Amino acid sequence: MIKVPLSWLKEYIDITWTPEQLAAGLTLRGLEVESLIRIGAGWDKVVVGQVLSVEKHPNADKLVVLQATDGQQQYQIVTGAWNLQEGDKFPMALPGAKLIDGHKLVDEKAAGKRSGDLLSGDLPYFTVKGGKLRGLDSQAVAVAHLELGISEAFDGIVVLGPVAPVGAPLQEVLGDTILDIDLSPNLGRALSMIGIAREVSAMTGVPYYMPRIAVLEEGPSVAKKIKVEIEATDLCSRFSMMVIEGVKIGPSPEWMQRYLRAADQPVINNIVDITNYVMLELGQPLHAYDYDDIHGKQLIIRRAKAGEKVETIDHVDHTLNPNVLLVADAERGVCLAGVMGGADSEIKDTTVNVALEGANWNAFNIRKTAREMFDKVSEAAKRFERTVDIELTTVAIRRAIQLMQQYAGGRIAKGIVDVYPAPHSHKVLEFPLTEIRRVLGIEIPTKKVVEMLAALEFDVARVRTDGTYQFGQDDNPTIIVVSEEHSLRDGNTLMVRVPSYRNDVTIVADLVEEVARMYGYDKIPESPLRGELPPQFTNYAILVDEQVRTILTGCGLSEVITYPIVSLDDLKKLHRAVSGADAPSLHWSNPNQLMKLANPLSTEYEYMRPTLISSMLKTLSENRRFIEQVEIFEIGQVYLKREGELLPEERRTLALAITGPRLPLSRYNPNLKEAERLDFFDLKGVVEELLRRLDIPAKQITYEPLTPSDSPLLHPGRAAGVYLRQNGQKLKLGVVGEVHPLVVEAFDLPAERVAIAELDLAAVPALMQREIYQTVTRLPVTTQDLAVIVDDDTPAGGIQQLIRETGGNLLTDVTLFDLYRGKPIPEGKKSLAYRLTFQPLEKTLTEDEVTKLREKIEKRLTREVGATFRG
Amino acid sequence: MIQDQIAEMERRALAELQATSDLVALDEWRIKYLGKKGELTGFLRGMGGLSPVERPLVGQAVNTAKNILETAVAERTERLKSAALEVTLTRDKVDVTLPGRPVQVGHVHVITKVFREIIEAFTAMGFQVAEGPEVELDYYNFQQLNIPPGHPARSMHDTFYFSESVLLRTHTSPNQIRVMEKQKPPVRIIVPGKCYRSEATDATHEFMFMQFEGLAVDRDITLADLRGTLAAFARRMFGEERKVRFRCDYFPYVEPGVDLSIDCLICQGVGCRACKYSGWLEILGAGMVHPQVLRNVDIDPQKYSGFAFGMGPERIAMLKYSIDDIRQFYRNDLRFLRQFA
Ligand SMILES: [Zn+2]
Repeated sequence: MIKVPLSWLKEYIDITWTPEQLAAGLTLRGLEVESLIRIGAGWDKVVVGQVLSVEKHPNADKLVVLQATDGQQQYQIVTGAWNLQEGDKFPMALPGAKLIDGHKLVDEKAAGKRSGDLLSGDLPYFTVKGGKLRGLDSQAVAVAHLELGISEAFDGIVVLGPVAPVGAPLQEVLGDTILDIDLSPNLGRALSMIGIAREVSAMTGVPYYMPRIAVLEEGPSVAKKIKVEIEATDLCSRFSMMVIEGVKIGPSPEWMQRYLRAADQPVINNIVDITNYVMLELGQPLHAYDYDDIHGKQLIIRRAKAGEKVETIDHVDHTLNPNVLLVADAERGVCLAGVMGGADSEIKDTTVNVALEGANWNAFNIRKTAREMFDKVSEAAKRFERTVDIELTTVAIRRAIQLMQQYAGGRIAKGIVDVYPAPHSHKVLEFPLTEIRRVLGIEIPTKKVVEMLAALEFDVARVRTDGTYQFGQDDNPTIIVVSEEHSLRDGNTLMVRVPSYRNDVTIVADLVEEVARMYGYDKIPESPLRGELPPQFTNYAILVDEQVRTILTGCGLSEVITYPIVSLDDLKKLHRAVSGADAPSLHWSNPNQLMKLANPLSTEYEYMRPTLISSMLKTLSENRRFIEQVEIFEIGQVYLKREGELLPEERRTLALAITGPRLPLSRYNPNLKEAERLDFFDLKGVVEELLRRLDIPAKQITYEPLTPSDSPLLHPGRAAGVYLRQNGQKLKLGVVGEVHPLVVEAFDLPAERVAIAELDLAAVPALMQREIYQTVTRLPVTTQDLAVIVDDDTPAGGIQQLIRETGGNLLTDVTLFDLYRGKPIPEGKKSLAYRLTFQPLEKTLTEDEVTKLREKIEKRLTREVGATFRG
Repeated sequence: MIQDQIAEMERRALAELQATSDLVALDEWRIKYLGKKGELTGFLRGMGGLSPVERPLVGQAVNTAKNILETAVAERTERLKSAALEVTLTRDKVDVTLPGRPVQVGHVHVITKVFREIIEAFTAMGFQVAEGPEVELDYYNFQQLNIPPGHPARSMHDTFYFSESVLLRTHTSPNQIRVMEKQKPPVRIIVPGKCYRSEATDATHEFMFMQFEGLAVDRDITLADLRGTLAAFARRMFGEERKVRFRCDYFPYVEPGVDLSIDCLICQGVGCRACKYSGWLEILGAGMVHPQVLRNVDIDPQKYSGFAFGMGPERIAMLKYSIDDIRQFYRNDLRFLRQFA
């Protein structure tokens, strides 16, 4: 966010703490120091060299041969860079020095192997060795910025200032420590060296100094040079301007370049560099216009006209809308206000006269324009969108114009154009000191509080018992306070006047935070929560989730969590098996019935899922590449659009999916390929167990065959709807079935059985009922086996149901233990063998009683399903 | 003399008994000597022809022999049985280093595991679990939390939108509002759930992730209570010996804002790559509920105060289990997930 070279910071404050202490202290106070960058830590064997002579390489047009010295020894250097001249001082890397391999970096970037910052990520290095280049000895290396890691510049050798001592280690000349600080959106005030210096000062107790500004105004009156009008007063609260004539464009001073590079800013020319320098120094973004390109010598701050065009300095043409604020001259827009300047009026090598703008823009508008029109938020916009101190415009342009005259010459026009319709008035907050105890839970003596706030440049006045207060001497009027809320007569209230750069402080809680920051968050004691416990309740949805997890993991299934955002393509795959005519009725892949993202990352994640099944099949498929047997479940929401409602219904749903061999590979199951596969009945068994354990009475549940139009993604003959009958109502709980082979194929699963179930978990809490427990007696039980022969297509579920109903209380268990077709059973028939368990409640059953019950069951089966019996 | 014959039979029988090698031979021996038609009974049967004087003597001799033989056969049976058992045990020997029979039990997702731990820690402190919608209104996700349109904090929340007013929640914080709209203080609630940010995924960013929101509102809740509660949680989660750091941070819906770090689990605070050489790992953001947020739900900030916190269970899992890539969680590769069973 902001890089603060300590060398630069030292211009404003004596630094008495180590870089580590500074970093830790600032971080605790909310200015998070992400890293300490040490420039020069690795510059072993790189020293200040001086050029003795420069010659062309005899055998290569593109190379030059330097003779250079480190003050003791002469070195011959062959290099491709042409920017050194006799007498120049430069970083000279002697054999053994390790430098960043700039060529490799640039090549990698060109090949697309690196993105973003060249100097981020792992960097390639090379070690300097002596050697021959095109036949000539090269005994050292003249070093470029990139090779030192101080900037991305790689087009020439670093030229050091004339005072650099020849032979000195480079670290002593160019080394620095940089605080890389990440700033939250409320910390706009810290986006400058002065802003950081203020924090450091409040923290260390050492005073900081503003740069001394003295401007020699000798030129004509600025009022004659330029006229400024703010038309959009809602978006521009202040616009200040100075003019300097007769400047000479050239490079900025070496020290400034070094600071700018260390702070990660581009180096362009003296005028532009000075605007950036002052922005970084004071926090006020500035913009320099080529005065001669301002048509009509007037500037109007206005909204763009629809379709109006501006080319910005990055040479992009923009077509604007009326949300964009412009600085325009008599004819056209010359600057996207607060965001980026226009190409037409930018500073060029030929610029002679400069108009310098310092303005204050509406933060929301800047934010909108900067983010809608540019990929990267400019340094200026970064500051304006966090709000900039409105009092700063004139200070900053005076500072910059002074530097411009110093480093580019010229005459400064007299005065400042300063359009400032509603000058700032300081906010004054009434601060009841009891708030400190109430919010922070600690007591701080009033004197300490006053000191802390004063160190942060708040004006603090104690309210006297007569209700009056007075700020420091410079404040003439004594204001009488009228307050409804707080008793002022206890002498426990402060009046606090907020500095103009503290836009973030608006309420008492903000002052409490300032006190906490100064006191030290790390000194706040730990106390446990006390007080009344809120009413306690059970969250049944979460309870059911947990039960489901326990049961299903016990059944061998593992939990997955998939993205609720899915692709339309995947949803369509679910309907792969359906012919066109039926398709319109399928709500799952009908985009009109789905919640669709307006700004998806890609079409792969675009719709809120109406079912968990597509994600389950994808997860199966991805795992099936590595694992033979996959058994998974997911608890998650499906999102169902609701007519006339903004928000969809988010329905808690459970999905289960299994595929692969029933048993894992082991010496008991040596041949996985031949092993029995998981199928419908495996999963139905899990569903049965699950519902039973969730206290949904088994008697109330039925499994009924599904028609293909009920559930087109399932196998037409191996799928069931799960229904629940309770209080005369029939409710669909979900489906369980094998996936249609075409759908299996669509999800790239191996062509084998895949069983899947989806159940409406949201319905479960209301359905759970404890079954009445049955007494267990110690009386002997009687078992009987009953082989029922019925037509092949008679559903077994009904037979079991009939047996249960007829057997009554004494029949405690009915287990189907054999299903048989073939001889001697007649063609078209099947035999179902049941073991019936009779459990007497009061006295031992006689054989006669058991036989009677059995006959009753047989008669009923014969009557209702035409059963015969075997054995 | 019959007694001599008996004595001779006894010697013979004992010799034969010593020669039996298994339980079958033993049975044959028993039939031969002690059976209903065995030799010993034979002597008794022949007693009819004896004088009344001889009879009790022979009878006594037979009984004595019988006792001797029965004791001997019992001993022999015992010995052969234990020999037979020995054989069986030897034959049953297995290679105990062979793997056991596979048992098929599944496992919950690692994030569920972390959820359980977090829920347990906070329910023990009187917090209860609530939930809220993932598809959310801008009103709850931003506006009521002091983040009006155009607020710079919005740029920290890359948001998926359905329309101008409907979005995928970017954090669980809207539930602060939803809970307080319905429940007046005292409130102690935690809200787990999925959140979404429309940002490119990499090792530390996912477009979907989980979050945990916590909220406590009552009279006299202070920053010290926040610190006490969260430090207790951090130590329970990461170990009693953990150092906890509190630092100033900014979230528009709290004031003062806080973030909580623990000393780095990997380098113990010395500084390493995982903690960016700071020695500290941030685990959650928190703060005192902003007075405006309380006013938004008609709770008087002069009377009540509260704290709120939010944390990512993925981050906690990554720290706890040294996972270096957040994308692992929702890729659902069972080879990854089964390690947390
Ligand atoms: Zn570490």
